[in-house]
Amino acid sequence: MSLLLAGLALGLLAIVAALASPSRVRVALVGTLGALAAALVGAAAVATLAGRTTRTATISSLLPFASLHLRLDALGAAVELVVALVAVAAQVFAVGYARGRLRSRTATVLQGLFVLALLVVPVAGDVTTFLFAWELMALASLALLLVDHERPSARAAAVWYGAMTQGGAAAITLGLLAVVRSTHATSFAAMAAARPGTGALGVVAFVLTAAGFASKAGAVPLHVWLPRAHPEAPTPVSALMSGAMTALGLYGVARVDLGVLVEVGRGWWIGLLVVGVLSALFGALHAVTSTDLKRLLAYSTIDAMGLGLAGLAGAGVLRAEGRPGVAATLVVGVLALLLAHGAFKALLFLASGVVERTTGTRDLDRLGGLASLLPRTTAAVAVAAGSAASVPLGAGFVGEWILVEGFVAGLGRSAPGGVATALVGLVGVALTSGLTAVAMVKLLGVGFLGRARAERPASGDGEGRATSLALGLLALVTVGAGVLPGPLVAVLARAARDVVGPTGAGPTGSVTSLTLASTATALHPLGLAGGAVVLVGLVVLLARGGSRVVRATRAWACGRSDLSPRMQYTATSFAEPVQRVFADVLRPTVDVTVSHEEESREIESVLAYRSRVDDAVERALYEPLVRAHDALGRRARILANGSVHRYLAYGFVALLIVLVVLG
Amino acid sequence: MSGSLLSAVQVLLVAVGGLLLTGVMAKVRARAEGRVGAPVTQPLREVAKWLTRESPRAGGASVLAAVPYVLLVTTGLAAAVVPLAGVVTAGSSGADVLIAVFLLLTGSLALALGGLATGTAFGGMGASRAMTLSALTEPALLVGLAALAVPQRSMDLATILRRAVAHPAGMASPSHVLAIASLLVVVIAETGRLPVDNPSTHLELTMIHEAMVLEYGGRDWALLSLGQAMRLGLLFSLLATLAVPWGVATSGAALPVLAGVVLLGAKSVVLATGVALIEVRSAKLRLFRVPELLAAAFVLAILAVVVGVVAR
Repeated sequence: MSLLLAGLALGLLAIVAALASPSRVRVALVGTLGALAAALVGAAAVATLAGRTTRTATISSLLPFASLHLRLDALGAAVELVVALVAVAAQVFAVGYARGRLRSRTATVLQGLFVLALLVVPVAGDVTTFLFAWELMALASLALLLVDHERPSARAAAVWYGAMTQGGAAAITLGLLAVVRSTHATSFAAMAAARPGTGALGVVAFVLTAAGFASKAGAVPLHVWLPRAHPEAPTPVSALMSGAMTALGLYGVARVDLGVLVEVGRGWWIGLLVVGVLSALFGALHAVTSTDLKRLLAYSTIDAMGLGLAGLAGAGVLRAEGRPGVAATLVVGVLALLLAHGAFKALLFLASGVVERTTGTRDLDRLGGLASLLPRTTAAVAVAAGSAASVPLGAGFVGEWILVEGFVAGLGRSAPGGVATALVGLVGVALTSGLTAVAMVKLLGVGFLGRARAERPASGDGEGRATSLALGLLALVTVGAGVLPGPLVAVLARAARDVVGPTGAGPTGSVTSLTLASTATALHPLGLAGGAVVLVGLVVLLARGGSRVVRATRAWACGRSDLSPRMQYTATSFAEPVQRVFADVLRPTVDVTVSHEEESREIESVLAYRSRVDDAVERALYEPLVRAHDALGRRARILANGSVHRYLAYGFVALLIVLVVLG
Repeated sequence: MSGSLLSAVQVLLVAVGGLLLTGVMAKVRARAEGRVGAPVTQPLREVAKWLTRESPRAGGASVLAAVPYVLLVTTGLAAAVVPLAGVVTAGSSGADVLIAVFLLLTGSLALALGGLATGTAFGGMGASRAMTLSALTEPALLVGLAALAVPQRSMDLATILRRAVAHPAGMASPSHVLAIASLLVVVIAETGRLPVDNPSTHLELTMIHEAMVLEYGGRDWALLSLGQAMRLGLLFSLLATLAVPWGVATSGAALPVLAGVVLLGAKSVVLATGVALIEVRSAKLRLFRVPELLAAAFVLAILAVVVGVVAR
């Protein structure tokens, strides 16, 4: 616990330093202190996971009305590890990246607050502390979104984000109050021990908290803020929001819905599962068709979090059906996915910042050929994209593997509800995995390989030492967790046991292997890595037996000599087949304008093709809502026509009403 | 025979066998079309010849050089872990269904990245089309294999095969048939055969796979062709083994493994001949009709799971 407290104190110190230090050293000082703070908290999480001890602390004088209860158990520690990892990387990155307004006192203080709030949420021991940290996290990130407030898109994103996050926080608060009322306890541990009943209050609490937390994790249809806010935030903040804050949404579901509201009916969990699977598919499809680098990443976050939500919901159903081993497997899969996602998504967001700094654009249709300009960034992106596409020996594969195995295990020996759940989950994971691979190939292949599609500077000055260090750290974790997943999963299994109760058949891991008893299967990543090394050796031998002459030549151009970079496939054209296959879901707007020569209708002079994929959910659900809201506001203007007499009359009537009611 | 020796045998078998199967399919097609055709060993000789030729490289040279390595290593790894000729190790062997699926996917990713790295229209076109189809075959492959796994209560291919050999009645079950049918479509799509893709086309605009690999030449092309042949060999022999698991050696002794190798070859040749005859009798589907075929395979796979669970 002392490590955790030291870390949090250092986080506070970083905020003080941001307030007090001169602008010359501010970013470096705050970044270093913040990274150290997050590293200490991460170390506390590791100690808790390895030592199987739950620690608590109470700080009584920090908040008015209530004291701060901290509690670090295995589940909290597992999520804290993700947050700490992303926070360390983002803060180190910020040291090398921050320019202009991001260096200001306000922005650095806000960043410190945001990181501190993120670090407190998973260790909050009671409802008050949790809601305090949750709200601080939301407000700090909202303010950070407005660092670039000149851009209309950033302002619009802030409005969307503010509305959605406050709505979500309200739902969570009400839901938690319902739990408090039915259990007469405020700490999560006491709540879980009291096991609130299945009554209407329990269902209300489940629906409200699940909706609030799912909205934070970008579940459809509450996702609309995410593809706006994550791209518009300053790069280190994007990474924190996408890698850590969304994970806290799933943490909330695991902590409150799975951990406390144990008795809620299966039907509600199946509903949440469907939401998760639909989110995953929706996110994956939009990630394929997005051309803005950060927007693509934001949609891919919706995809990953949707899978996580589906995994947790599947665990809820299967535990209710008396299959705690399978439920534990699914929870471990989700936790592994969160760690992998935190690492690769933070890396990709940070790398997109480097790209934007170097080229001045995030539009994939105008990028390309970055491999020679930003070699280190490209290598890191390749690792992250591979992990996201579930390439074996990457961290992403481990999470995906455990999830799929969990769902397959759910198919056997379960009651019909469990079978249906497992089938929906399996189909969802299967469909998204292929689409995610397409999105990642597009990101890496179109954005970084090939030839440059637009003019650009000759040097990659965005690739500094601190930024590369942050990317390297995340890439190392991605590969490390993929090659040695055994120890990681062994401790995550402990966290899962905290959530779903004691189990016999959860995942077990050793240094060399990872075993899942429920599907009688295992992974031997070290053996696989060894085999890969041997095979590389064999192929090198084979290649050396052949010719070693390499001749530089021109690409095949159907006999023409000029093959300009504009003739390459762009991100839009790369995604066009997928867009066409899934046109019913994506509902793209395609607009072809043909204008003809004056002399002849047969000769076409200009052919303009426009294609855009808007968020169909947003169009169908939110636009009418916003319009109705606007109309209501305009109608309400009749009440306030500017006449002072009328306002005085309102005041008088109001006073009368108050007197009548009170009297 | 130890596990690693068997793995080495399987890798060699898949490499040489893949090239020979390609030759067999070309031969069957030629005979069915009334031609004599090249000898079965032709692909082997061609790879040996290309190996000695210099490699012309256009754009994206370093990526182009790396892609054949990635393809060969991932396919080789899959051939080493998946039980084809024999099942040696007891218990959970690490021959997980998903490892095989995602190793194959990694090869597809490398090929697509190679296509995009050239910075040409054809490379991008091939990569885009191949990834679209791969996104649709992937779910069918995963769910189809899961359908075979569910009745055996294991996702470990070695365990699945051992239990299938012990209880051969399961092979006549509707679930098994449906799953194999779906996997057959997947294998045809993944190996780029008709009606999904025409491996012998010379018209760039209709190409899928060939457009993506247009820029390889010489030694690079030799390694890439070997990788593609290994992929074909692996998918065909895996499908043949899963469809009819008899003959898979369940002990490590030399004789059963030898019998396993021979039977594996026979099963794969029968399957390859069947696919070649399908190729002779079918025309290439329009690109945007292929998703319908793959969706059908996906539905078959889901049905296989459902039937398997219900029939239990």
